[in-house]
Amino acid sequence: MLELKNISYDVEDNKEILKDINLKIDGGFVAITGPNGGGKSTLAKVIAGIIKPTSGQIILDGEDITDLNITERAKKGISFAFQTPVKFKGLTVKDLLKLSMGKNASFNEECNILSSVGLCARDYINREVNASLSGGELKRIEIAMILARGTKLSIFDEPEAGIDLWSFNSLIKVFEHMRETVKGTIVIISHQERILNTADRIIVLKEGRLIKEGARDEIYGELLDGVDSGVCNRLEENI
Amino acid sequence: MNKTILIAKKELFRIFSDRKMIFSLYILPVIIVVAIYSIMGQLIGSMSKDIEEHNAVITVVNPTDELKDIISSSEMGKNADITFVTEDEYNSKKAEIEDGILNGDSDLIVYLDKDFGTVADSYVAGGDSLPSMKIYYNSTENYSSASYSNFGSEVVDTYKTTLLDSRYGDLSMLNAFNVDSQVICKEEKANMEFLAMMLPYMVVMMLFAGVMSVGVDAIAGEKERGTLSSMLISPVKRSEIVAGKLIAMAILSIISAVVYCVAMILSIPNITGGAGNMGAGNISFTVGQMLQLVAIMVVLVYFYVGVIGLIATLSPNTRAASSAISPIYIVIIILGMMTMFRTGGTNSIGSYFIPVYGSALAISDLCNLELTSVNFLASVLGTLACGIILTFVVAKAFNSEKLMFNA
Ligand SMILES: Nc1ncnc2c1ncn2[C@@H]1O[C@H](COP(=O)(O)OP(=O)(O)OP(=O)(O)O)[C@@H](O)[C@H]1O
Ligand SMILES: [Mg+2]
Repeated sequence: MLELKNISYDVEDNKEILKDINLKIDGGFVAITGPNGGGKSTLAKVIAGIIKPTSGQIILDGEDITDLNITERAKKGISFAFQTPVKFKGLTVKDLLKLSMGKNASFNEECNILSSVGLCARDYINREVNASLSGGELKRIEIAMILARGTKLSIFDEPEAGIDLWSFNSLIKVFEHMRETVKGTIVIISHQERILNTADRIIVLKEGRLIKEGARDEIYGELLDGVDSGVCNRLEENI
Repeated sequence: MNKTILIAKKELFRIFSDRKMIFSLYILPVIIVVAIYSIMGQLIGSMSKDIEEHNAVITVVNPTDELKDIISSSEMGKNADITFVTEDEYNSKKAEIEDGILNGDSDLIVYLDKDFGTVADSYVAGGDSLPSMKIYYNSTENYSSASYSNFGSEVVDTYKTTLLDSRYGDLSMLNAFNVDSQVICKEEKANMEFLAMMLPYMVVMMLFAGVMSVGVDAIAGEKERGTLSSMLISPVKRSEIVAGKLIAMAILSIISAVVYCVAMILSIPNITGGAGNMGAGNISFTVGQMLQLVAIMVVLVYFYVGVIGLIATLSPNTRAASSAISPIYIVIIILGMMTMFRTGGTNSIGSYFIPVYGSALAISDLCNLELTSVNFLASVLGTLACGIILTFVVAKAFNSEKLMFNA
């Protein structure tokens, strides 16, 4: 279980990007949404350990991890996928899986992981992770890496970014599949209605504050009712 | 360890699958080296040709008949413009003739003592005193210097031999054990001197350029593209990532070091060939010397990898890294050049410990066949120690989230 206690993050010119966030995430599929600049990516980076909060505590399974760096947190079971997927020129899909799992995988294991993101191992395992892969393929490979690690907390920052409609559909299926198979917690930052729709819980961040948090059905209803116009406008643009 | 190899493999693959990178890393420098050497060969060649074609202007004071004979039968006698004068004529125009030497209008004054003929005759007959001949030339004038050495070998030596011959009879026995080996030594020394001048500079500079083109992209470039962040988020130890990258940088740079050296040694004939009378002698390093050279280069590469690795790690992107490296590149070039114009004298052992400069000194000594094992060790250990310190600093910097994520 992940618990955030009074998390704040300021930058030099006294600008508060996160203001006193208190949050408990306990398993399942959690979506974080909210208007641009609301602080979603910043919150994700604070959890992953890329940036240190100005104040507050981060507790993972009862242990204070506020002072651990990103690699130490990765070892404790937190994984993070950046908003834009990166290419690893010179590394093959197989190499990446090996790095993620920390060991050589059997072809069967590789096949299982890749097919759960809708890729055929035979076609992809020896491909170099470079610009010759499509955006959707890169995204799926990145997700496959996180699956391969089997971490208890996986954070995806806007996994739908730059994905075409077709790939988006299969991406949704991947997340639905993940939701059924992965035991840990999955946190997805997203503006997409269909992703929010698959979530168990939804968290809304606006201007650095946590303004709503709850089960999907109650929050989702409110979002569509237009109670919070900022979020809704944003959602409608995307839909 | 396994992951380190994987990361090193990735870096190597990235370079070798990129034709532009191979060109700028391995082919371009070779072209530059060969071009520089050929151009220098041409220049030196045309200079010596010009000297050969020049007709020397020589004044001989108090010539003996024998000397006149020797001169007229020598190669010089056919081309040179030679004036024979008596002591009195010389004294009356002394200032004028000496000025000629100074300003380059005249190349050589050969002054025989008034009684040269008499003394020479008595020497041949078994006397003790030696005849004396003075030669004045201007060492800053190429024509004058060339005339001096030609006159020495074509006329003076012949004259000397003639005198000795007349005194002792057959001289073939005397000749038998010196001449040949001396000539070879001279040529090799000339080649080695040239190599000694250029090699340290080339090695020091080119190796740095090689590491620079690989290292900046491997660290700062990956940071910029976000690859490094993703890598750090995976459960791979940072020390493994650092090691993988540095190893790959070192391998690539050592390959380039070998390529440059081979190119350089192969293009030496270009320069000595063009240099006419310097002859196309052969450069020969012994196996031991080769190993020393390789050791110096490997350690130097390691040091460079540390320097560039550190700068690339501290810089947020490739542009910042490149501009931070430029001043260091200039310092390296200057250090390399300093050994190029070193005028004799020995350096204290302390200077061999200085990274880069010590390596350049050691390479220069190596080519001059003057490298002592103490100085060799000093240069290797000094550079190695700095390299190790730098590696630790880079590994430390890799642990800073602030530096790695530009947060
Ligand atoms: N280092 C920083 N210095 C100054 N401002 C920052 C810094 N990091 C983030 N911000 C600001 O904080 C706010 C929140 O940024 P964040 O990236 O978390 O937004 P987001 O919710 O992820 O937005 P989006 O939906 O566009 O991805 C933005 O206004 C951003 O400009
Ligand atoms: Mg964001």
